[in-house]
Amino acid sequence: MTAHAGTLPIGQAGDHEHGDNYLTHGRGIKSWLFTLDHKRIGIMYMILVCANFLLGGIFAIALRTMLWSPLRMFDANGNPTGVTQEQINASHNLYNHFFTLHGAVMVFLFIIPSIPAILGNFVLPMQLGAKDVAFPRLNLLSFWIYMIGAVFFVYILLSGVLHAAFGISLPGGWGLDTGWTFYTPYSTARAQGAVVAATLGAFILGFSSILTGVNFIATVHMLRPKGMTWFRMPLFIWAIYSTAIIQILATPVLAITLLLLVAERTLGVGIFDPALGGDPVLYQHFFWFYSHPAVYIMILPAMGVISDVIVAFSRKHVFGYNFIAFSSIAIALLSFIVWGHHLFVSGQSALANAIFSMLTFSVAIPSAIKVFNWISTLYKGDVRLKTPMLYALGFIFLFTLGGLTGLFLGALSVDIYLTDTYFIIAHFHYVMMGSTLFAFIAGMYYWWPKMFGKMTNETLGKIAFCFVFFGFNLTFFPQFVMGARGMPRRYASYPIKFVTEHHLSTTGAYTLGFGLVLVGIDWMYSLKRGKKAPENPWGANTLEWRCSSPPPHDNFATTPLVGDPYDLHGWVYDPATNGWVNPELGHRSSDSPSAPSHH
Amino acid sequence: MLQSILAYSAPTFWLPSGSSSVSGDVDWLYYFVYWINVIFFLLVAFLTVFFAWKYRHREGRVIEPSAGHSTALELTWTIIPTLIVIVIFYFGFRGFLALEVDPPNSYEITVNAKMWNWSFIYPNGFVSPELHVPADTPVRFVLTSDDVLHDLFIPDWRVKKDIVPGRFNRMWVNAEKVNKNSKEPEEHDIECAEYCGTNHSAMLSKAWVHDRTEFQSWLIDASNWAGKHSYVDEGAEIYKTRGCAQCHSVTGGIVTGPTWKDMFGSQVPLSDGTTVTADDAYVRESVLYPQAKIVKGFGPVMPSYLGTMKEQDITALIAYMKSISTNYHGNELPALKQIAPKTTEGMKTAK
Amino acid sequence: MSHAATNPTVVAAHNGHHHDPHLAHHFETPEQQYQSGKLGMWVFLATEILMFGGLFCAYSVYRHNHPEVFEFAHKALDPVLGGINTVVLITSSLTMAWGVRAAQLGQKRLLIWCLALTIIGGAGFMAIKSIEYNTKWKHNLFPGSYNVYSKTFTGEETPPLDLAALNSEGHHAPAHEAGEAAPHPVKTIYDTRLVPHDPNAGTPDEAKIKPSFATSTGMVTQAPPAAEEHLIYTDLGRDRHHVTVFFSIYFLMTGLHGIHVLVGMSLIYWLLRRAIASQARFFADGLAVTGTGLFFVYLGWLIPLTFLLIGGAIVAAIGIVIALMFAGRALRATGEGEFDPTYFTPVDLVGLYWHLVDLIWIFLFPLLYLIR
Repeated sequence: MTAHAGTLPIGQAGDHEHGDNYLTHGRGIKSWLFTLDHKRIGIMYMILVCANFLLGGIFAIALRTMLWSPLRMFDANGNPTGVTQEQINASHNLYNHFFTLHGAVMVFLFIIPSIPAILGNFVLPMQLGAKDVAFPRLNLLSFWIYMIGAVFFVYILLSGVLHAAFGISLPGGWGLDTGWTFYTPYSTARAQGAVVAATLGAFILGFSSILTGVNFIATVHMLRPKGMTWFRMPLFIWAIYSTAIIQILATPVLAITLLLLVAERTLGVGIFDPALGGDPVLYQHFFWFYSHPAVYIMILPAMGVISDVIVAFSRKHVFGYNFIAFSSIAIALLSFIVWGHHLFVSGQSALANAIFSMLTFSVAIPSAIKVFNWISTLYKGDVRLKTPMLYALGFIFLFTLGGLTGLFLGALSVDIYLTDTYFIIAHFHYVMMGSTLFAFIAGMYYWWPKMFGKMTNETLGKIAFCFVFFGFNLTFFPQFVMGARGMPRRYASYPIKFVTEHHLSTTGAYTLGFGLVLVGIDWMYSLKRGKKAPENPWGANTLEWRCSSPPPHDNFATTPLVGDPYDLHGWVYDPATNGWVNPELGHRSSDSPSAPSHH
Repeated sequence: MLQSILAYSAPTFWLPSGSSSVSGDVDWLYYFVYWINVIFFLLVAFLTVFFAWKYRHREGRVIEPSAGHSTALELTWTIIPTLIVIVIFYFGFRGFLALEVDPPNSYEITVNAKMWNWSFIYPNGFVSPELHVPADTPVRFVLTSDDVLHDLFIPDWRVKKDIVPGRFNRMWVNAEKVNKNSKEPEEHDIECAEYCGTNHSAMLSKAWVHDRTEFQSWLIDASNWAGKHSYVDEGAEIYKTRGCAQCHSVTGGIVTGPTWKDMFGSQVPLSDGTTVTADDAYVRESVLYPQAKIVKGFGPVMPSYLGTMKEQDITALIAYMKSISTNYHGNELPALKQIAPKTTEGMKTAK
Repeated sequence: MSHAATNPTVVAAHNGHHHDPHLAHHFETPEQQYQSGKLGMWVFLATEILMFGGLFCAYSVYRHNHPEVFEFAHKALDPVLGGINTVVLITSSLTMAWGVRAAQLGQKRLLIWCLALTIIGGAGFMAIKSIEYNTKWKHNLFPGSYNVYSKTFTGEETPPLDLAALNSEGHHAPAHEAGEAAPHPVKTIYDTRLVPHDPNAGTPDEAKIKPSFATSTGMVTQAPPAAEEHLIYTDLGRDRHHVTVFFSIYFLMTGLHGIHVLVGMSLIYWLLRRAIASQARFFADGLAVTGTGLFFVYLGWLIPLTFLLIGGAIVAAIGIVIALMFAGRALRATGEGEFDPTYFTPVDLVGLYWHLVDLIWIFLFPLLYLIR
């Protein structure tokens, strides 16, 4: 590291044979923005997606702060508090914008692209043993489309800030107050916010998602090298592959739905608004036909990350590979036929409710299978509690709790009571945030050495984990309680009896925010001062660890020899490099000389 | 039947008190799933922590080999959850049927939701902003919305249903009184549970459960309430209870709609550039056909009260507006020397 | 590999691998690359079908809920123009398929002709479509407040009772509308779905004159419409509020399809440019600019908008000048294009896309124009 003082600090300690790595292969901003290298595209996604996460997080903190105490005209004894109706309206309005933007930014700009676009792009081709994704130019296009989609949300934000601070109105309305679901007819006929900008933004982001899905499917089908059979693929690839299936099958339906919504709001085309002859429940069906599978776009890649991380830190072959792989596919397919459970109280027929309830429960089973397989992987292992592993174990806790509370919501009569309350908020934050975010952080810590050639600080990482884990539970567990007690969601103010739960939740949000800032500091610090990462710091057997850290531009000079991705025999710890080596494989450069060819 | 045994339930740590014919069943299933949750969560948490601790890395520990998979185990943890969810589904569906199927002889109350207030319309045509129901009687609600999606949620009764514009959703309830011997009506919260815009969280109301006999006399009294009060009092009451207050202030502040303070009798600038005098006809038109004249600077967002507000109510509202407007002078005797034939004929004088 | 041989520098750049210049570094063989492209395209087409699937789903829901509305409103569409367009598009699909075959066989001149004909077919389709849209505009049948049946309609006109007349302007007398409303007041309260079809019904005129009535048993025995075209506006009862939905769906479906046609034409033009020798590309560009200009002239005449007319004419003139400048070189250099039997992936993939566009229209045409 220090030997190269004066040059880029990141990654120049690359391996000696290639002399350079993907980070130093080409310099200047253009070599990044127009790169076709899947690794660089992954890194660019990382920067943008994390920036959007920060944005969504700021909204979360803001709305939790507003919920610290309800703004009320009368106190508990019925005496006026001096707050006027105008102040209350302004406060409600602000809150509605905050929760909408929090939801929309987190869903469309953070969770959906997080693991597939960042880790999928960076890791998938290398894990497969390929030099790139099938269509590198399409991959770059997806990234640019993502950027363009994000610009629409920046516009919404800007319009909101300009309006709130200076009273300037940009065309198309200011801010966004429809909820991230854009339910009609509020969104088409009533809302004052920039609904068109938001829906066009989400429409465009959808295409980024579709094209990434097409790319990954073609990559997994066509670029597997010799020896990489379907059942030698790492479980992360299975998960990303299942995700890609959902992305290509569900996202087009969202695209057309949002297009219809834009047409209705701008041209007065009547599809969803009853005043124009349409039906708002049709919108809900269309929307959830995408958005329920989208929940699995969020969670399936997370499950893939966890499978890989748990194996590497248990030093043991994954338990029940086939069951985990097939449960990913099962979840992907089942996810398409459960959307109706979002409409249990919308007035859809009792028969439809019964069928959707039954199908919803069926998704619980593959999820349970995965959890038990992960636990069995720990059994008789040689468990090392490094930072990524802590997040993986945290994931098991939160996902189990999130998944189990789903049983309340699948049960029809209980769901009717609990739906649209804070119970739902708590449930989906445990699944979408607790699980996906934890897996995302686990994956980032796990692959960070490969990405940048630097190790992160274990002590800081573990302290941050404690804050994140404790803060998360403190934020969202009280929400289960208040939800069950009847606190409706999307309420800017609330009955005074819920004030304790809201205090706990807001305190938790600050703790969680602090923990996440520590995570960010840990990552930044490692770029600057981190120890040089070895080729294989964790001793995993998947192929991405066979190239140097950071990897060279072309990943592999020759295609690596493919075996069972979870057979960890032969890898021994080498204290000299702080990494793991496998004498049986020989050194990377002396990989199998057999001519590589596609399968 | 289970639900007839389990009528009123006291609040627990998780659930508020339940006081309808279905609440016992819902609560029972809630706690059934709750204990399944607790057991499985503790199992998973214990195993995770225990394995992570017991098999933690230590120098010199001999690693025993263990199986990479076990079909028997896999099948076990496939089949057991399957059986459990089948049981939960069965009870959930059974409870749902009880919630969904209303007895044919139910008492019917029409619910009209608009941004952001409730109107409960009784069979005799009386409209009230709060819900009053007779105890131990099946009551059916026909749910209608004037504008966007709303949702009628009464936590204590464990019932909830979306209100979809353009559709007639139905919901029914058989409410119980906690204290069967008391003559006093008992109070429950009503909340809107589907996001409906700015004041979604203020779209609250109360539900009152009366004795069957008391309910009848309440309805008669309430229907005649207006007859016993002045128009100004009645107008003030309508202002507070029928959703006017959320958008129109009476203190001069600007909320979603223009303020009523000093409005009556003034010259109101309209969005099409013209001006209109705020007289009785203007107010009536604005209540029934709110989109006809939009005040400059405001959006066309007010719902129509056509069909839900009677002429008498509108007259009362107008009387109330007159009472809070300094631009209206018809309610004070003019000084004698000012009396001239021209002004005595007019109801108002514009400044 | 004849092409590769003409590019020795490219071969050298690949370190002596037997690499086609079109072979990307991460593929092992051209076959693998070709198959990847094809798989990717098929997957993408699946997403396109799903996107239209949303519209088809909306169509099915509303047609199921309000069948008479669709029966009534579709009369505004001209099945003759729609039919011609179907033939045009199928023909262009044929020329496209022929072009793919030409590319595979290395028939470079034929490929150019096929691609050019396909583009002309697409342009013809759009031209006919624009006539149809123009008619709808004139009859106030655009969506939203431009639709005469909409509650928000801003114009003065009263909604026509029978849309079939719109397509045969000659027979359509203004008195028709006012005169026909009277005999039908009773009919409006019944759901026309309950009315049994009477095979002995008389002529259309009789059916219109005969008043409908309900018998004492409550059964509706009104005279049914003799032929479908005589389902008129007042027959729709409460469903009449949904007439605008038909036009919304019509414009969204055909509009989205039209955008796909335009994208397809652009892609085929991109192929055409590569299929002809580099010296001749500017000639093709000139022709394309001319074509675009002429299309604007046509639109300017149709709408009518003078600035479109003039602007289109100027663009067309510039295009002709460019084309003439390069015509000589172009004629000498045909047959030197990029595609040959070793590399025709783009032609194949764009061909797939064009067939999809064609296929969607083949579903749209009967669903929208031929409702019974």
